[in-house]
Amino acid sequence: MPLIRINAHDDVPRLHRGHATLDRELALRGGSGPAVVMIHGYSYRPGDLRHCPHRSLLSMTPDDGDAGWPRQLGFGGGHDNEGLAIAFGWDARGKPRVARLRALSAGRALAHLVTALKRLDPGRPVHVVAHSMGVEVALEALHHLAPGAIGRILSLTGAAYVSRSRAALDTPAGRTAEFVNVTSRENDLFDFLFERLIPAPRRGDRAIGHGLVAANAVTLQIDCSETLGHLDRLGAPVGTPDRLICHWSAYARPGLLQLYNALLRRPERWTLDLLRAGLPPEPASRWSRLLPAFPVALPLPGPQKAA
Amino acid sequence: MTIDLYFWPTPNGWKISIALEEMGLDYETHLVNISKGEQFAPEFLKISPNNRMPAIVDREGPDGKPIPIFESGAILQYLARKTGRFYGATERERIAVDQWLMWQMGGVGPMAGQAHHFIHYAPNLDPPQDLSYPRDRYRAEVRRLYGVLDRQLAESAYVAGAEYSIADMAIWPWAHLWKRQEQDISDKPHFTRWLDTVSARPAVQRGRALFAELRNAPQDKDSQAILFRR
Repeated sequence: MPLIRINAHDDVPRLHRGHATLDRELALRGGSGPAVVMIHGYSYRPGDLRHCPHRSLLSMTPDDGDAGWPRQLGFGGGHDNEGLAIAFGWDARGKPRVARLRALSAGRALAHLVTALKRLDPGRPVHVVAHSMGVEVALEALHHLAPGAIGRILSLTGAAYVSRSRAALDTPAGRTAEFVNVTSRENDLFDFLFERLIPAPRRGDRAIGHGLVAANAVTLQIDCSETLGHLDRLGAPVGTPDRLICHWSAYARPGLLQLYNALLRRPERWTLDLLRAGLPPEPASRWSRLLPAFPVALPLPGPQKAA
Repeated sequence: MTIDLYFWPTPNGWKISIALEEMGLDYETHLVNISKGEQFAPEFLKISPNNRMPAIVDREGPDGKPIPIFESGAILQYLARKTGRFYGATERERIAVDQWLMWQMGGVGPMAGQAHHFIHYAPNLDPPQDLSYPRDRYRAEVRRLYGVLDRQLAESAYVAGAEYSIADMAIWPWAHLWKRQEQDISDKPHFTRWLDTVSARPAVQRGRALFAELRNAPQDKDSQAILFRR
């Protein structure tokens, strides 16, 4: 099976089950193709009967019968070149601020894992797909890695601050990586809560749901008709949004995991420039998805309350 | 109104010279040559009963009268309250600043100080005290503390949150001497980033440069005996 289940124990990566060493397990997985590290977000905990990511999101055969990420990202077909899927778990339950602290430790564990992957096969690309607070794990790892260690990071409605993301993308490993910032106004409520519950590293900082401007980043707002039209023209049709509020649309919406599959397996075709070429100049503003549905005249802040 | 600063160019002294520079306060420096035992002078004892610099006398204290203050942490808190700067805007922010300030006072300062002593001073005593156990212990403890700091700085731009504070002013003077403490910070990227950021502040550079030429003055046996009370 091309899937390895690994969990962060503080800042150390360990196999989810079994007593084999991580290096030995990784060395047994030959074949070509990229290594894709999949990282869940808040509220999962490996080994927890009800919340284990290895039984749901990151499984080849999720308990709930859903497709799960690995199969939709092209794993399990039996092809030699399908690469290596790594389900990366970390304890993301409890108070959000505590979980976020654990994400930083897990980021160090991820860095150890990626370093091991590169040591075993320097030529194998390593990519990361992360949802919500799992993006913090990937960003932290960049601070501890060598240039070229990670190829692409797909951030699915990432719970991270702009300044921290830009700082991570300005590290030696960050400058050689590419960051696809998948956002949606469906996630506004969760971005808002993130900004309320997790102290910002800098005053005035915002969540990357607002967009992220960096030389090696692109923001795809997947509830924007212009963006969806652009992706469709490129050959990656994605379903239209049917919810006002949703934290999971960045992987649950039809067509998106197929798009991610293409972004990871054919980066030379799906360049950042190609993605940028048909996008609107600015992402839609926060709450713009909710407010048209509730045409209520909100009071303006005091100084603007004029005639 | 001028503040009298009783000072020698050491990490604890720099905390206050940096704070005075950051806050734009007028001050007059009175050197306390710790190698010559000037910290034991009776007149200094009245200002600093623990015979340690730094100390200050604010000629215009809280009630308009002069007030002497010793202990670098207490001085930093006083100056921050006096100026209303670098001490957070809310009670929560002040608690964060206090926590990290006390973390420095009770952790980094004593541990790094002992590391300096057992790595650099003790082996040069007469007779030499080349003691591996305390050297390794304090070096390891400093490493642990810098690990804590790195993890904190992964979360926020500065030690106590989003804003530069007196906690940063307290920690930087010890932390920027990490090589002297025989530390490896290559695995501490956030700590490194913070060191670079704080080191680039002009006020930090001015505070660090205050009488810096006196720092490398050679020590003799007498000064060692005075410094270490042997």
